[in-house]
Amino acid sequence: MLVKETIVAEFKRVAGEQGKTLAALGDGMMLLETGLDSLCFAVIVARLEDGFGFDPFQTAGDETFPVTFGDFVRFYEAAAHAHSAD
Amino acid sequence: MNLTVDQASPGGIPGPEDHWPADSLPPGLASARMFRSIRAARSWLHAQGAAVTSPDAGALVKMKPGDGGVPLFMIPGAAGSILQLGPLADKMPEPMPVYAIRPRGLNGSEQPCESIRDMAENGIIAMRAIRPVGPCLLLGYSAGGLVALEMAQLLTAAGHAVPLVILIDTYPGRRVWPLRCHVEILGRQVVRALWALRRYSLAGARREVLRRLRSLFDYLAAAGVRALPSLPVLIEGTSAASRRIYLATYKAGEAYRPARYDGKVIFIQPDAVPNLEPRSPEQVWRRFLGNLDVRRVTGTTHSGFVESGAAATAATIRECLRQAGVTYQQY
Repeated sequence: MLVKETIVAEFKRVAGEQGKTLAALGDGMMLLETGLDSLCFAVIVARLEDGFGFDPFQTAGDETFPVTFGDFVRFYEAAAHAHSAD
Repeated sequence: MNLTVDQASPGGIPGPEDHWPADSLPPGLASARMFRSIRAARSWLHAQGAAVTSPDAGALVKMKPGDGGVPLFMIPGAAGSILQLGPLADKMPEPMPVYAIRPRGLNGSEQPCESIRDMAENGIIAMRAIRPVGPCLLLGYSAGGLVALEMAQLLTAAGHAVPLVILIDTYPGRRVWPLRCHVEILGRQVVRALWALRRYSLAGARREVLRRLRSLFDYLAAAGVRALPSLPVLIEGTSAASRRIYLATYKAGEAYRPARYDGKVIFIQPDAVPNLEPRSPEQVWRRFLGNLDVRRVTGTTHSGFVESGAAATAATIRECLRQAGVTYQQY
């Protein structure tokens, strides 16, 4: 499954589990406006680590942390690329 | 539409038409803080994840299981995020059960408490649901420390034992700080400013002086100088609900006047004292707290307590518990 599809599926799954109303996930949508809270994002990051086998937040510098949904997807795509090259 | 906290959608969940509120922390900074907290809480989340992220979790969240000994109740900072307490809970002594008390209003369907007393009463109700009697330990991070202190006041007044209250870099509003505390802070700032001005050209120095004067006026306004306008609050939080809680807690903290408390209190201070905080927390707390001990944690900043410095902070707390004679076998 593509990285973006996996991420979208996880956002929808967590929003459903936590009873949150998820905003439309356009690339420019700010993560903090998606309707999810910090605990939801913590769950998403943990589950994506389980699924992908890596957690890009462990190695990235704070200045590269994603702000929008598009940033988030690119953040994981870049990490997936680096992970597959290892 | 420019969504402010007070105009947030019913239920506290922003809809797609909402925009980032102008009076809030910039989104880049807010995102970075959130992901730093998530990164710091990673091992705790892996260990406790299913329990703490349950949508059924109420006001009380079990952060770490224990064997039924004296429990530690943690109160988060102004935005109400229990995530930031995870790394600390993870490193508490093995047999000690640890809980976090979530502020009212996080689920969006309720209004946040409007005073520290209300927040404390709310916390005690949550706490007593699982521990109707018996002693407890309280820990508050930043503004959460005011709630912990008020809970200790209420519990001891009702005849319950609170062997220890831990305040992590907690201060009441500047309006109750003694004059000499302000003099020390402002004196330190003047020396810093004069030292910094050496690096500037004449035009640059003028701008820097104006910037620092604005900062001085802001400080004096927060300290209660009535001739100056009140500062707008820069609201933190990662959701509309948490921003609403942040604002309510900020206002409640500013209005709070601590009553005298003579129980044991440990104040945990960062190694890097923030510019606008006193070098010695006793200056502020001495008249309110009769049994205060201050511990400075090496290598920490205010946010580092619960992120990169969580291990050092937890080690200090464990030592404080031991020295206070609080062992889980005691009860």
